[in-house]
Amino acid sequence: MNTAGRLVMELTSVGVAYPRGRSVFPSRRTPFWALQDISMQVFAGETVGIIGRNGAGKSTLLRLLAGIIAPDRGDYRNLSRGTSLLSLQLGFIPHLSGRENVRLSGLLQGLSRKEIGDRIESIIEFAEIEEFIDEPIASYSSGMRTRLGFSTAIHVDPEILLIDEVLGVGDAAFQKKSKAAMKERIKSDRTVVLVSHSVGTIKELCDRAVWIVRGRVRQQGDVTSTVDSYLAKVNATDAKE
Amino acid sequence: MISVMKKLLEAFDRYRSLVAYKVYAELRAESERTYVGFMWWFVDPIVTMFVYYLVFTVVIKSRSENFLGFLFIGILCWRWFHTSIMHGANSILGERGLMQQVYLPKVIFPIVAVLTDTVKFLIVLLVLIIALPLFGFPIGITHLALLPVVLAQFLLVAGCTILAASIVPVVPDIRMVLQNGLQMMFFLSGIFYDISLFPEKLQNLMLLNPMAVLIRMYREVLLNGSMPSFTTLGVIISFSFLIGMLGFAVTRRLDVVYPKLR
Repeated sequence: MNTAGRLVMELTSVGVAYPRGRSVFPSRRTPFWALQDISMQVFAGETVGIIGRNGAGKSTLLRLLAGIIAPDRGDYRNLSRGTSLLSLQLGFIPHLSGRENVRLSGLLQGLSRKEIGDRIESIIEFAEIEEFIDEPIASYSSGMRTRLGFSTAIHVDPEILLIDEVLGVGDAAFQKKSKAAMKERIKSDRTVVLVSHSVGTIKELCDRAVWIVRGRVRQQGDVTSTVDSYLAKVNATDAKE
Repeated sequence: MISVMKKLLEAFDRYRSLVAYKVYAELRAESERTYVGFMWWFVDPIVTMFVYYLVFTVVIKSRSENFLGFLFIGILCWRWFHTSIMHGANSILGERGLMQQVYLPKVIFPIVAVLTDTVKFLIVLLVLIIALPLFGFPIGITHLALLPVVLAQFLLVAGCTILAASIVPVVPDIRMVLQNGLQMMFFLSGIFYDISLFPEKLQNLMLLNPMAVLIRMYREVLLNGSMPSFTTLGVIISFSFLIGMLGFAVTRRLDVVYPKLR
């Protein structure tokens, strides 16, 4: 936990637009600006929480940080060696065996074949499905698939980890285990950007918070004061309704 | 141009195992979705062949020598070209879920489509070649001439598929254009008739269509044991290469735009 690390990500007045509708008439093609004006920085080793209501642009922001989409205005610089979004069951194909899906999903998430080979036993062990690992995942229960998906994702280990909501998954016992594994990753000196609706999670895990309203940064900085302003605003809106 | 090529090679090297896995997964999934699995890769073109055979020999009463083999080769080559392009046209948007979770160079998706259809084609072609002696066509050294013909068609199929895949997500209307264009091309490629029966002027015009040229070459090699023109193959290969590069350049340019499209 330190906030004095080197700069790893910097956004300067970033805007992201989605095309809306297709037509030969340009007037019917006005874009939708999911992000209007975002300026923020992320430093190595810290955990940054993103808060905001539904539709504020949190998921779009994570996609931008992951390099999946690019800014339509403003500037985004990523100085890390690897940034990836924690994705459960990414690319899983029902007809393939558990082992094959771990390999495929690992490749998709940027691991090399050697890295997968080194980790596969620990992935299988964490998922607790040793005896079924060579069966097609179509025959798995949804709980087994969830465990395998989580276990694969958590073993990817990028320099910057982006998390959208998911902390714990599965049944009660696995939820406890997966949440603990997740928290351990977050609290280590890894750089994490975390999106959550749960104010408690943000307060517990983050070093800094960024509050987004309709694609703009409303407030950022200290977790307690940012979260408190957010809660005050949410409560005020609820009271009005 | 050279930098584009270098980028393509780099991308391909880095994502080679991913592409191999996706191709394997797709073939495996396809063969496990039905009871007889990959047998459909053979049954499908054979049924089509008999349908045409019936139409053209019984109904229209036009027939030439070796008509079954003639038809089968035409259908098989056309099928490779047609399914791969249509498969590729959907390949990028079809992986929307994946694209929105992780950055991947989008050219991977049409490449997976092309390779999957190529494996299916090659398996059937191999069986056809092995079966040829049973129908009175001995296998000889001249059959090696098939290699450059297959390579040329592979590059043509890959080039067209990548280009189609790169444009269709942004202009979905192209898919309709492709469907109609391919149907027209099907009738003009000499699949169920011999182009050399036409007057020479018309023939030359029809042979501007690379598929017509390739299908004729396959038949010359497989049924007559003659050599294809390497100059013509060179022209087709260069043309396909340019088209593929163009498609790749488009996917590079739109790499971070595709995930936003619906």
